[in-house]
Amino acid sequence: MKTNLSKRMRLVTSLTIFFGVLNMFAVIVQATRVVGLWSEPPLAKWNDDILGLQVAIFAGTLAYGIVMNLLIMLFMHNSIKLIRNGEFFSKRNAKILWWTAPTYLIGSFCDYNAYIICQSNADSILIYPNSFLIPTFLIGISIVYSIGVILSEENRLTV
Amino acid sequence: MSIIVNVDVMLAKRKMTSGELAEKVGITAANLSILKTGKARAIRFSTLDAICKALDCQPGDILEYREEE
Repeated sequence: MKTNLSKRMRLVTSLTIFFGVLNMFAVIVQATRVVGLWSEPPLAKWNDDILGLQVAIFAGTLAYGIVMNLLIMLFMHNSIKLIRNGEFFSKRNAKILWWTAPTYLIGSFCDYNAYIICQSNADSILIYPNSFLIPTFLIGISIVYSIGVILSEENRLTV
Repeated sequence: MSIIVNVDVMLAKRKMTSGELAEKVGITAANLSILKTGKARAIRFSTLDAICKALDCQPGDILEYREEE
C-alpha cells in the first residue's frame, strides 16, 4: 500500500509541476498580450486617472500567477522528497502552505478586478466573499499541517 | 523533561557498548543516543521491555524521576 501511495504521489507531483510550469508560461504570455508586446493593439487601456490601480492589478495578477504556481510546485516537490526519507511533514512545507493564503487573497482580488486594466472607464472595485473564504481555509489547512509537523517531531523523538 | 534514562550505568555493569545494546534492542544508534541524552519525548513499552531484557534489569534501574527546578 505504501508503494502504491508513493507511486501515486510521484505521479501527482509530476502532473503538478507540469501544469504549474504550463500555467506560469500562460500567465506570462497573457501578461505580454495585455501590455501589447505580441498583440497590437494592447488589451490594456491605460487611464492616467486610475493608472496606479491598473498597474497594481496587472502586477498583482502576474505575480500571483507566478508565485502561486511556484509555491504549489515547491510544496509537492518537498513532499515527495520527504516521503522518500520516510517523513511526511516539514516546517518548510508548513510555511509554504501558509503563504498560499495571502497569495491567493491578492491574486483573487486582482483576478476579479482585472477588467479595470482593459476598461479605461472602470469605476468600481469588486470584492467577493470567496476571496476571503479560500485564504481562510488555506490558513486552517496550514495550521492543521503545522500540528502534523509537531506530532511528527514527537513521533521522531519517541524511541 | 523530568524523566532521566540512566542506561550508561547498566551498560558499564553489563560490559556492553551502546552499539551492542542498540542492536539487541532493535533500535538505531541514533535513537539510543536520543534516549541517553534526554531528548526523547516518549518511550514505547516494547522498547523499554527490550532494553530491560538486554540489560537484565528492572525499569526502575534505568528510569529516574528528577524534579525540574
